[in-house]
Amino acid sequence: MLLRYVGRRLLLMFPVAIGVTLLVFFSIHMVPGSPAYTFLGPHATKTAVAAFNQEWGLNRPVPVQYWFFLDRLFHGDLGESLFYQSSVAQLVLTRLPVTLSLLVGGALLSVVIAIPLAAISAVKSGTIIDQIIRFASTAGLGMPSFWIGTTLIIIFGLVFPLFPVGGYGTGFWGHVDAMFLPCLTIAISISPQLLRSLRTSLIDVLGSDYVAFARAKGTNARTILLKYGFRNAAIAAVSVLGINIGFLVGGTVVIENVFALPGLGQLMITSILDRDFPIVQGITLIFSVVVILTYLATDVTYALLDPRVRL
Amino acid sequence: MSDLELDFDLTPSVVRKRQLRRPPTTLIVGGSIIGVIIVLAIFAPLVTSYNPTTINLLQTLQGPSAAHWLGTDQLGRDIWTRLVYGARTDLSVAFIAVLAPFAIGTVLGAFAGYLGGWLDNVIMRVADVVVAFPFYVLVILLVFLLGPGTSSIYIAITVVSWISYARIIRGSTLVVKNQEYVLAAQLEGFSTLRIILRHILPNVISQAIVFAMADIVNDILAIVTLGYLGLGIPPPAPDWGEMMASGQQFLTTHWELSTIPGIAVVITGLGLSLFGDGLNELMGRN
Amino acid sequence: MTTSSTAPLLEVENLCVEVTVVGGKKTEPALRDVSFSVAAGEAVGLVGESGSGKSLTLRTLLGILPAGIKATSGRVLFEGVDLLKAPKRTVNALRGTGITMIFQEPMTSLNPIAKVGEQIIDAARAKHSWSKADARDHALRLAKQMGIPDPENVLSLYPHELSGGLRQRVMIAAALACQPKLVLCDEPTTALDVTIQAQIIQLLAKLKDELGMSMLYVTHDLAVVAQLCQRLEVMYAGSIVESGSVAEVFRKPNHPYTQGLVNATPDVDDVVTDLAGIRGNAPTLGNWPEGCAFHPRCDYASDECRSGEFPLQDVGEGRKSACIHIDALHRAIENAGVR
Repeated sequence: MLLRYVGRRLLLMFPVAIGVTLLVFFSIHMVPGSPAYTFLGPHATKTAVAAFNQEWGLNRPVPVQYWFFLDRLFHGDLGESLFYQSSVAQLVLTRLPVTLSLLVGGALLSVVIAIPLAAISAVKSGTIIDQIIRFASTAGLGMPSFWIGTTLIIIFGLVFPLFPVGGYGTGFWGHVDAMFLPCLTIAISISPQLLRSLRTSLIDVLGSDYVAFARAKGTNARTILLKYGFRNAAIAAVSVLGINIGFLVGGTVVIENVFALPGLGQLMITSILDRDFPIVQGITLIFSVVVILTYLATDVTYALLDPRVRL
Repeated sequence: MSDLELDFDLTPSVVRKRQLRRPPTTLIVGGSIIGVIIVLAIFAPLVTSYNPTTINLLQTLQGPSAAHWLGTDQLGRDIWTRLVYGARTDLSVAFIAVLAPFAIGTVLGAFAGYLGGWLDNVIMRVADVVVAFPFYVLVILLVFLLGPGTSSIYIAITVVSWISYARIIRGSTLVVKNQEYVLAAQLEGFSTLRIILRHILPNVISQAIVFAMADIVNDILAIVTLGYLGLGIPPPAPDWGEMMASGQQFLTTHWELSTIPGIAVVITGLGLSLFGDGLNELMGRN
Repeated sequence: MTTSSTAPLLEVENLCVEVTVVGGKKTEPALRDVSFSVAAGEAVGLVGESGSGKSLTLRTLLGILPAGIKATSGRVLFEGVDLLKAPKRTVNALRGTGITMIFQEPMTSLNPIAKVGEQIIDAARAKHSWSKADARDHALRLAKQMGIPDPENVLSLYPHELSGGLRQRVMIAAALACQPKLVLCDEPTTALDVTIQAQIIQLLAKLKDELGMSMLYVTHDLAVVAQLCQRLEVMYAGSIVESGSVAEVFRKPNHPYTQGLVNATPDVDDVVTDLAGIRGNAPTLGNWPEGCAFHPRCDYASDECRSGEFPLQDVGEGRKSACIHIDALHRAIENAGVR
């Protein structure tokens, strides 16, 4: 039953993926200014431009280019960078770990922050502690992620120099050290949404009739909190986390900029400015794949938690 | 741990509490904060005496003084003035930016939910595809493709944001369309358009309005972030994001250049979020 | 522990509960001076309309009140222990083993994401530290006792996969798993089809006899009370207005409200009677009339009824009433014809 559900979701993702490739491919081709002039300079000769276009297949009709594009995609070839002497796939692979660790670290930290705070806030609903937590999370909603990053840099890089303020570091622990502030930035920027949604669903759950009945029949407190309380509340929270991670993937573009991290986001921005389409294309695709996979994972987790869904 | 005591209380669905007539605190506090900011933004020329774009290289990087309440930036421009005019720019763009997605998303969502069938499928699939793109990636891409400028920002935000409205309205429409008054209207032979406009929309629109409040906050964040990345509202119009970006190089010496506009963003966001929460609570009571 | 045959299992004395109005410092009374008792092995009906406070009474007894609703005075003595003043630990330990409650709507009262078998047995398992196999056996035994068909299969299902009647049986099984002495029932059959209702009531009656439990059965349906209970308490606007044995109260009510309820209950045997409602509407919380809360709807009300307190009084033969015009009521009943 669960497998069938997962299979169905995968099938639905397929047309979405195709749609994504379509959108990416055709949008890139709307870019004003051709890469030839950008690369060769505005005074390039027509012959040089023609040769450039020929070499990069930019003079074929667009639908043909799209077909080749899809074909190469299926073979794992994301094309060659126009400006670096390297395949896009290669570039992506080098930088993917940075971005992925940022995402995973940020998501984990946000869960670590949000869950306890939401629990306290829900259980002590109406008290001063609850109000403080709620106020803090509302304030957090209005904080741009780069501001959080910059502020953290000021506090932990300049005032209390505990962490490096930029770069990826060397060696495993160097990476962890360097990634802490960026991941914390991400965590702080998405925790408010997560906290609010978790708190609301916890309050709903704790006030529900089934928790009341569980108490009435003498179920012990631990079982009530975990099996009756949290599991039910998590169902709603998982969707919120999923949506936020989707949002987050784009947020890495900003964070990598603030902390000078050599990840996909930073590459994206420089490639846009360079008009290096294959890279922009490749990264957009990779990002979209990550987002789609995240949504899939969210759906699966949701189905794992809630048996009513797996029809 | 089996004797851990539960000291919270439960809420049975049996007992209903009476509501007070007075509006929720969050509405008042949030409304006040954002009200002050809007007033300052509208009456900018009255509360500042400088021009936000005039460069004065003789008075760069000055601290706060009687002449310059918050000091001057690296080009000698009065920070307070730029802050207030920045409010004008950013707020007006954000408020306008929310209108198109609201309208488009609501209409599409209502039709998709009410009519179902292939229209629903198409709209939802398109939504799925757009949603697969991370928000900022898509916005940056679009702004880049369309060239810098405020209209690009409007278009980019619209393309990306209409989906949430569509989904919310579609969901509510699905629930509402089975209500009896809709059935009655159908039996009376009203046209689809009329049913959607007169019977369905008024009952589902409140959810979209509440979301719009949160969306304005998102839009402000997006505008400011774009400004920070250099892709935002083009200069010389003052924009908090751009102020934060250019101030970043002075982080160690004059951190206020970057921090002050940042705080302005946070306070604005706070005000709007509180107001949105209050609105939500108010509507929840009805 | 010696159990005197005269000491009731549950004794509620002058219980007052107040509700805090949202956001304000004002409180409204929800239960006023409620007093009654339940003896061991006895089934007592708690009857009244919605808003009379009957469900609230049950929740107060168990101590599962929401924030903002508190018992402000009185005592709730269960086997001599005042539950309102006892430490939380004691009260928590009593739930399930001493007192338990069956809710009205099984769909919302069962954990939607846990298997039914687990829910039946988890409380008992924790208290007895059974192994998984033992727990399963106990669950099966309980399921069979509740008349759940095909228990091996049913126990591994989720609540949404069961019919309403089965869910209710599951809830009853879960409630009784720790063999409580007192079962509070909050209109457990109201949400069910009439035929299923009858089955569940029969089940409850059977269990009561087999297990020797006491029951406090809240309902607005007098017919059910007649089937299950020995005694009954009638509630109106947060107070008890009449108390006595079921047979006698039905035969000759001692309060106009009870009379109204009896009249409103269709009697299959009696084809002559018209169905009579009670005029007016039951007052909502906070809008209780001054004096006797029932007086605006009462045919026997006099000026004295409009103000003052009307506590439950002993009127002889083990019966109690809060009405001061019982004689007028009885005369009217006799004049209405031979019954």
